[in-house]
Amino acid sequence: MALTRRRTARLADLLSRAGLGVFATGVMAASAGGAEPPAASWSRDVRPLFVRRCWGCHQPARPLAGLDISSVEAAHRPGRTGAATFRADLPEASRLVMVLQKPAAGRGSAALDPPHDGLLAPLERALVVSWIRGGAKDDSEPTPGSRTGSEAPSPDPRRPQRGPRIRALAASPDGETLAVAGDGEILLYRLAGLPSLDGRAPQPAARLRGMSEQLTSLDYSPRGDRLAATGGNPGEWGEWQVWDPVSKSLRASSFPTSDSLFGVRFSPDGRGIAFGGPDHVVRAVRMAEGEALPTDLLYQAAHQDWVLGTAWSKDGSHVVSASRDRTLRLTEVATQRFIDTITSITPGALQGGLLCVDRRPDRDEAACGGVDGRVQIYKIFRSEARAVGDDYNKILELPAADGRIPAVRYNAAGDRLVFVAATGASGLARVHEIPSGKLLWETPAPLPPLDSLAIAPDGETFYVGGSDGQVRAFSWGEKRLLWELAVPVRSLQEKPPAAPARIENQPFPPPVRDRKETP
Amino acid sequence: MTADSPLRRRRLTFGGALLPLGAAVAWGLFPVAAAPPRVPEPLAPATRTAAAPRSEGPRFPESVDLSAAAASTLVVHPRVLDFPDGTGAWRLLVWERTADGRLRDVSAEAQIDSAGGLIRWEDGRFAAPMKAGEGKVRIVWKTLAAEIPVKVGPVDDRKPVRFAHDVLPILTRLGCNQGTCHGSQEGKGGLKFSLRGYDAPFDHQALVDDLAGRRVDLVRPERSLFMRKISGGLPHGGGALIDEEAAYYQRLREWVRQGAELEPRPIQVERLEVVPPVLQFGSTPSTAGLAVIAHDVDGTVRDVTQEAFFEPSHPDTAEMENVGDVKALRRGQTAILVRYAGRFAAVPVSVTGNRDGLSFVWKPAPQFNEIDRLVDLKLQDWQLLPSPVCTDAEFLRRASLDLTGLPPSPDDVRKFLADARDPQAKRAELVDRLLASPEFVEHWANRWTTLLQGRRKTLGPEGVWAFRRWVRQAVAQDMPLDRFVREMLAGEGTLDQTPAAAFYMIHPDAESAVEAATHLFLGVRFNCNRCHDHPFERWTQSQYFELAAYFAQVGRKPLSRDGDDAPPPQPAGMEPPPPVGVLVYDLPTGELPRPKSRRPATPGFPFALPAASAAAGGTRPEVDLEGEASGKTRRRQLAEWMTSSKNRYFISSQVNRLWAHLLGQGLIEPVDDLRAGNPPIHPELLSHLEAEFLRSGMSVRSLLRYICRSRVYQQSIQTDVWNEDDATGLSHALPRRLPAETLLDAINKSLDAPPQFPDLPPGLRANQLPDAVSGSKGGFLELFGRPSRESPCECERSTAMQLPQALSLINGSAVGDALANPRNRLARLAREQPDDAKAVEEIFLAIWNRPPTPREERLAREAISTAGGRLAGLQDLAWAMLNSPAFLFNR
Repeated sequence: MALTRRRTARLADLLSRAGLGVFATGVMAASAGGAEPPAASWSRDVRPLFVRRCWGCHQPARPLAGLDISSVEAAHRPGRTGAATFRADLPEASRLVMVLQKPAAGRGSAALDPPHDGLLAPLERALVVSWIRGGAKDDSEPTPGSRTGSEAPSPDPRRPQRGPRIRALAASPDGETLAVAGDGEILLYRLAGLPSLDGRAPQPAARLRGMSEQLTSLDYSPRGDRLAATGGNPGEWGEWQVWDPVSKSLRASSFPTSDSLFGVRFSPDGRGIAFGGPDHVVRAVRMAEGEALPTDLLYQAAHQDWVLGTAWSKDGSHVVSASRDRTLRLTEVATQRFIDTITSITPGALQGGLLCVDRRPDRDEAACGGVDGRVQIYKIFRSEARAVGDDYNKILELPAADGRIPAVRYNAAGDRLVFVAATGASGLARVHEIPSGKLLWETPAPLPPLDSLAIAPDGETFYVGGSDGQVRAFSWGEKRLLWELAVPVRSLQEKPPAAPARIENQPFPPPVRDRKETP
Repeated sequence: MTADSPLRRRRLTFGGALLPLGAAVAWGLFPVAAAPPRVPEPLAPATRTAAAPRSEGPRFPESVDLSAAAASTLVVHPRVLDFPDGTGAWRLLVWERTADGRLRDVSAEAQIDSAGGLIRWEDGRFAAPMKAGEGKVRIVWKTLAAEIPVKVGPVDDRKPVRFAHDVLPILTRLGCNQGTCHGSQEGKGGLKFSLRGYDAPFDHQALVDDLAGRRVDLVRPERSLFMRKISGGLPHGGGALIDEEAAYYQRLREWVRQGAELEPRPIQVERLEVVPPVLQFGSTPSTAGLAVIAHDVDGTVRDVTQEAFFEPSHPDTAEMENVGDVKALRRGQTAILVRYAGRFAAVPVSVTGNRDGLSFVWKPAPQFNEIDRLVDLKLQDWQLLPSPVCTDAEFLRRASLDLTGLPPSPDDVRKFLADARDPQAKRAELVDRLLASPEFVEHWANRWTTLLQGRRKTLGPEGVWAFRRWVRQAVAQDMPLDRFVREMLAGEGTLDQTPAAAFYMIHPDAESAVEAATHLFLGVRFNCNRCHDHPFERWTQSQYFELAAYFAQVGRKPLSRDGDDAPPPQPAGMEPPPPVGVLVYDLPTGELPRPKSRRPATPGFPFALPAASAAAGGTRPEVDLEGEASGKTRRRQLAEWMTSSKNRYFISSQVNRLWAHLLGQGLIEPVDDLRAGNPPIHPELLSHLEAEFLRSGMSVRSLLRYICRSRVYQQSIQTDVWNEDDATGLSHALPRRLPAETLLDAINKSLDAPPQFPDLPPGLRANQLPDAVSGSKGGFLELFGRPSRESPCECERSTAMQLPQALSLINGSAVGDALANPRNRLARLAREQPDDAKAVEEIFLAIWNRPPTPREERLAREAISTAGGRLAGLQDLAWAMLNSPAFLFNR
C-alpha cells in the first residue's frame, strides 16, 4: 500500500543517511570516523514500528512485563525486571534491544533467550538502535496532545454539521444553570432563557474547554460553586476537571489513567470528588482551599472491570461504585478499604455490567442500572450476614426496559426515581414513585438513544441528552416535553485551549500486576 | 445461471493433464444484472442441478485471433466490468481454451489495459472504478486477445455506505469479529461483536452505542477510537490492521462521516456463486483463481472475492495462496469452503497430479449396478483405476461382519466356497440371507440404541431393555425409517406402553431434544447455533429456538414404582436416582424464551420443503404445514416435517450413514455434518442412493442390499499404481478396524468361547448389551472405542488404533480367557481332531475365514509341533492369528 511504500522509502533514506543501509557492515566502519549520522526519530521512525509490532502488549492498558512503550516517557521507566530500557552509551545492551535478538555466539547465556527474536527485521532493529544511540529523544508533540496539525480534521463543507453526542448533563443546585457535556467542552446554559423566546437558537452562557475530547460525566458541588467533569481521549488518557462555574476557570485537573474516567460525584460536604476508571480503580480526590493543590483521598482496585459510576454514602464516609464487572462495591474512604460487594456474589445471578449508580438523597440506598435494562435498588450497608446465593441488600427491582440503562437519578426529595433507557436505535425515560416503585410516567414518543440525565432542583423537570446532539426538557408533573435545544459543536478551526491555570499532572500509578484485558 | 453454457461439458484444467469438467455442474461464468431470486434448496450446494440440454452457442466474448493458425481462444470472466454505482471491484479471470475445448487459467500471464483510465487494476487481479464512462478492456495473452466492455457509473466518495452491507464485511475481513478476538463469547477488551458478524444490529450497537458511543466520533471520523485502533494510531491488542490510505479505511471513515448508522432493512445476500464452480488440476504444483460473486436479494450482483474467506477442507491436497487463489499440492480430492456474510459455497477440487510420466488409460471394469456406473464416471475424471473384485472368502467375511457384526463360521465358509454358481448370484443370495438373519437384527438394533443413547442412567434398568426391544422389533420388521423416527418424535406414554417415547426421557428438555433430533435425523449440528449463528452454515440462532419451540410443549412426569407420584425431589446438587418411569405427554401450553429478547419463540422450520409438484399427480402434500391450525401437536408437526421424503437433509443423512457403514467412509464426512461447506465427494451417487432409498419406501434393508451388490462394495483392498494413494475416490475397499463390540464377538465366535458378562445371561454377545455400562472385565470394549452414549454423535465411536489396544490383544483377558476356555474350539480340536492339517484348516476358517495357503499350513503345523503341547500349539497359532491385521480388520 502507498503508505507502506512511503514508509519503506523513508526507512531506506534514513538508513542510508545513518550509514545503516544495505551495505551496513562496511558503511558502519566507514562512518565511525566520519560525521555523526543523524539519529532515527521517535515520531517518524520508531513509533510507527512500535505501533505495529509492540503496542498490542506493551501499552498503558496492558503493560506486559511491566513495560509500556506507548510513549517515550513511559518507556524510560524500567519494567518489572528493573533493567534499563535504554542505554545510550551501549545501545545494543538496552533492554529494548536485547529482547529483540539473540546475542551473538559467546555472549550472554541461554537464560537470556530473547522473547521477541525476529520480531523486527534487522533494518528495523537498526532504526531502534540508531534512535537509542541518539539519546532516545522524544520529538513528538507534548502529551496530552491537542488537536493541532495533521490531526485537526478539515471541515467538509459538503456535509451537514452534526451535533455532539450529549454524554453528560448536570443542573446547578440553584436551578439556574444547566451544564451540558458537548464536543470536548462544557456548555453552560441559563435555564431562564430556555426555551428561546425570540426563536433563535439559544446561546450558551459559557463554554468551558478542557483538554479531553469526550466528557463522560458532570456534577455540581452541593453549593454550586464548583463543577466537576470526567472524560478523556479514548484510548489515550483519562482526565478529571474541576471548574469554577462563576469565574469560568479551571481550578484543577489531572490525567491519572490511560483511558477515559467516568461517573464523577461530589462528596456531601462538597470537598471531594469520586470517580471510576478503566483501570478498575475507584478514586477520590480532595479539593483544597485557596491555591493549594488537590490531594489523593482514595485509591481502591477491588473491581474486576471498568468502574463507570460512583456515589457517596449519606455521611460521606463511604463510596459506592458501579462497574462493568456487574457488581456494586462499597469502599470506606478514610481507610481506603474495600468493605463489601453490595450486589449478589452468586455466580450467574448478575446479568450484565452496571453503567450507573445514584444514592437516594435522604437515606443510604443506591439505585443502579446496567446493560440488561434492569434498575435495581440496594441497601448500601449490609444488615444481615451474607450467605451463598443471597441478595439480601436488594430492596426493589423495577420492571426491565429494552436496552441499556445509562443513567439513573433520584429527585432531591428522594421520592421519585428517573432513569433513561436506550437500545441502539431509540431511547425513553421513565419516572417511578419511591419507595413503591410504581411507574408514574414514561416519555411517550420514541427518543433517540439517550446517554445522560439531570433532574432540576424543582423536582418536576428533568433533562435528557443523547446521540442526536439535542437536550430535551420534560416535566413529569405536566407529562410533556417542555423544550428541545440543539447543542453546537466547537468550531473546527478553533485554536487549542490555552493551558489551564493549573494542571497538576500526576504520573500514572505504577502497574501493580499484568492486567489481563477483561470484558 | 447459465445451465446451458457450452462450458458445462468442457474440460477445465490447470496445469498439466486435462480433465473433463463435472458434467452436472451449472456454470456461472458471467454476472448478470438482475438474476431472478432463487428458492434455496434444502441442500443447495450439495446437490447440483441435473444435466441440462446442451447448447452449442458461445456465451462468452469471442476472442480476436491474431494468428490464423492458432487453434485456441480466450475465455474471460466477467463478461462485462459493470460498476453501476461507481464502487466495488471485479476479479478478472482469463482462461485459455485449447482446440479440444479445455480451459487453463492464464490470468497471471495476460496483459490487461485500463480502458482509457476508466478503471485501475489492484494487485493485477481486481478492477476498481476510476471515472465514469463506458469503454473496453483489452486482454492479450500470447497471440490471443479479447475485449470486454466496461461501464462505470458516477464515481463519488459520498455514496451511501451501509453498515451491514459494506462495513461489516470489512470488519469481518480484518478479523475483528473472529472467535479469538471481539467475536468470542465474552468479547475482548470490553467490546463484543457477534461471531463473524451474523447479528448486524448487535454489532452496530456495540460499535456505535455502547458506553455512550465512545468508539465513534461523528464530528471527526478520523478521531473515532475504533478507526485509530485499527489503523495503528492507538495501542490495540489486535495490532494495526490497515493503513489510513487503504480503501477499507476510506470506506469506514465515510460511513462514520455519514452518521455511522445502521440501514433499517439490511439487504441480505441470497447466495454465493463461485467462478469456476469446479476446479481440476493436472500437474502439481499449479495455481488457479476463484472469483466469488454475491447475489443480493434485491438482485444486485457484485464481486466479493476480496472480502470472502476460503478454507480448503484438505490443506495437504490444495491450499490457498492469496485471497482467491488455489494452489494444488498433490493428488487427491478436496473442497474449498467459501464464506461471505453468513452465506456459504463450496468448490470441489480434484488434483490428478503427476504420475511419473505414465499416461492414464481407462480400463473398463465390471458394473453390477448403477452405483458402479456413477463411480466409474468419477474414476475416469480423477484418473483412477478401480481395484478388482474381491475373492469369495473376502466377500463372505466382509458382508458377514458388516451386516451381522459376526464373522462366518468354518462351515459357512466351506459351504460358500464350495458353491460353484456364478459369484454374483451366490453373493446376492448371501446378502439376502444375512439381512434376514436374527444376527442382523441384533447388530442393527445395537447400532441404533447406541446412536439414540439408550442408557440405564436415563431410562432406568428396565426401561433400557424395553427401549432396545422396541428398536429390535422395528429392525426385525424393517420399519420404514420415516415411521421409525416419527414414532419416536411423536411417542407419548410410559416406557411400558410406548418405548419409542424414550427419546423424551433421554433428552429431558427442548434444547437437548432439538439438538439430538437435528443431529441424528438431519445430520446437521444445531448445537452450534444455540449461542450464535452457525459459523459454517446458514443456520441462525433464531432458527434454533424456532425449531426447539416444537419441543416446548412436551410434558414429562416422573413416576414412582406404583406408577403414580414421584418421590420428593432431591436436594440441589445431588444427582437424582434413575427414574422408575416417566410419563411423556403433551402439554396444552409452554413456550421457549429466546435468549436475547426473552420473548417466546414462535415455532418455525429452518427451511421449507419443496411443494408437491404437479408432475406428482397433484397429490396432497405429505406434510401438513398448517401449523397450529392443523390441530396436531407441535412435535407431530415437527416429526412429519423432519421425516418427509422431501426433506433432503433427512434422506441424505440417513443414506450417507448407511453408505458409510458399509464402505467405511461417508460420501459426506463426517457423516453427520451436512452443510454447504462440506459437499459430498460424489453428489450424483448420493442423489442416486437417495432415489433408491425413496423407491424402496425408506427400507434400510433394501438399500443395504443394493449397496452390497455393487462392485464398489466388492472391490478388493489391493491397490496398484493407479489407485494406491486414493483415499476417498472409491477406487478400492478400505480396510476398517473392527468396531469394539464386533471385535469382541468375533474373538469369541471364532474360538467358539461364549462370553459371559457380569449379571447378564450367558452367551449374550457384546452386540446385545443394553447399554454402555455393561461390559466385560478389563474394559476391553471401552478400550476399543465403544461409544459411551453420552452424545448422538457418530464420532463417539472410535476406531482408532493405539498401543494399549495392542497390549490388550497380546496379553489381555478378553483374548486370553477366550483362548484358555476349556470348552472352546481349540480344546475341542485338540481332543477330537488328531490330524494337524485339518485342525489348522479349521482354525484358519474360523479366524481368518479362509483356508490356509500351503505355506501357511506348513508354518502352522511346524508351530504346533514345536510348542509345548498340542493344545498349547493350537492356542499359539490362534493367538498369533487373532493378533494379525487379517483378523482385526474388515478387509
